[in-house]
Amino acid sequence: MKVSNNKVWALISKDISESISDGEKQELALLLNDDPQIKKTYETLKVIEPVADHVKQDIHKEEIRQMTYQKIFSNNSRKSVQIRTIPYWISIAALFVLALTLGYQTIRLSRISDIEVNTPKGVYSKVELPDGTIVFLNSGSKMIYPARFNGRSREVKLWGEGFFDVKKDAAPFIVSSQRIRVKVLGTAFNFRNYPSDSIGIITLERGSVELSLVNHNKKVLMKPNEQVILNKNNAEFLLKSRIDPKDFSSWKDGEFVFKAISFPELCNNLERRYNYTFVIRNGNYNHETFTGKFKHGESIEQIMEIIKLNTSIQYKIDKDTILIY
Amino acid sequence: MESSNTEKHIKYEKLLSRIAQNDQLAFNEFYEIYYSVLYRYASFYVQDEDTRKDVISDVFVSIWHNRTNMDKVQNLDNYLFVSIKNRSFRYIKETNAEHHVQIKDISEWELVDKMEPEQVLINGELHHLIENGINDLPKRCRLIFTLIRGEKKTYKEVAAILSISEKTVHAQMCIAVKRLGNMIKRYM
Repeated sequence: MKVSNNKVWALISKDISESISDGEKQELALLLNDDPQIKKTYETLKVIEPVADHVKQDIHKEEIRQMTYQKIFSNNSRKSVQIRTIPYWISIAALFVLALTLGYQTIRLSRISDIEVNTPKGVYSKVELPDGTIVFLNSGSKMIYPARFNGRSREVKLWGEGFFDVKKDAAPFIVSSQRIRVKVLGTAFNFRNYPSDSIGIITLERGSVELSLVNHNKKVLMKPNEQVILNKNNAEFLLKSRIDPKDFSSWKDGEFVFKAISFPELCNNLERRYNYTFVIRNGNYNHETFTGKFKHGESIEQIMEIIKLNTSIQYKIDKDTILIY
Repeated sequence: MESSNTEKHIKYEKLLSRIAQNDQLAFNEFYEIYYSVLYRYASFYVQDEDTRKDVISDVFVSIWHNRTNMDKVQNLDNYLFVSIKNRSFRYIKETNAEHHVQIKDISEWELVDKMEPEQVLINGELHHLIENGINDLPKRCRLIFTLIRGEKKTYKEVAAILSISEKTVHAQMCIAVKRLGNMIKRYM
């Protein structure tokens, strides 16, 4: 008995959609047994599974996540970005003068024995603190620390980026950067908080870290291979786990590793590293993200060539300014 | 099947209400859960990888920006699907790209070799035939087929995602099965 094929197709449709009733299932089984050709066709239909490429999907997951957070947190500036720099020592001198003229007599003598380390753009430095803690300071960064720790706590101030390899001691080690405070006992972490950035990034390599924001009740306890991204505008933070901390401290070995950052951010980083001023007249790449690694020893010309090859931007180097158009 | 859907629903309700209260960690969890499904929806409409990334991140961004209203969304699957679809069309219109799915898109598919007693073996030629057969399906039909066979959705779930009736889903599925079935039958 030849049953209308439409009936068979309808039953098969329900079956391969997991939307078939028991009665219909039995009906289908009977029909399939009667017609071996249809049965073979059914078996074939059952194995068709159109799925997206898992590999591609996984590859882009982090990148798209970064893009999402970038779009949520960054200030959208579509006009040409001109980034100028003011030498730190000039701004600090002004601050000192201001304090004195306003008659701040509460400046204690111990202040004078604070040591200030400035790493100008284009270089990074290594400092050993009085307790044996090693600090790498990235370019365009500043650190102030006392000539001697007082025994109850070890406090330093940071502007910019530093990698801290903290000697274990009963006295907690505290790094303050604007309103962000990182407190540790003995550990290795990367602290990135440039004043001009809207976010601060703390990456923990080993040990444990207590992160807090001054004037807020929030405290975050970090474990190794975790990273906290703090939004300085609204005090919101994001905790990421299972990251590779070496990616974020490779600058101290002379490498510049970046993952899914925007073009303005890339230029910002190159500015600090190579001490050039970027003037971006081409807004076409503001929505692109860039991922890559530049090794120690590559000149700014080599890097600009690589960027040019991978985009279609034109650039011109004029003394200490790079024009992108 | 039913209870797992209600469980899912309750779990996502909690997550959405946390997000509505500015909980960034909850938003990150949401990203973890929904990334792959949004990627697959976007793959259906957008061929260009970079545009895909923009579409997906834009939809997540809009969810964050609308977070105070997200817990009021009744049918999250549908909301997400429609968001991806609308965003895709907007990008495609802006970049003047063709907005029907390219053949290359659906060629990213796999055959699961179940090794049933019948020992179904699909050779390269038949594989290719089936690939073309799927690509030649009318767009809506192909979408429904992909959601059911690729995403393992039931009639009920597909109806919810696309905001159509189960009857329509079944009708479209029958079209796909009949076409592909006849094609396979002729080949054998």
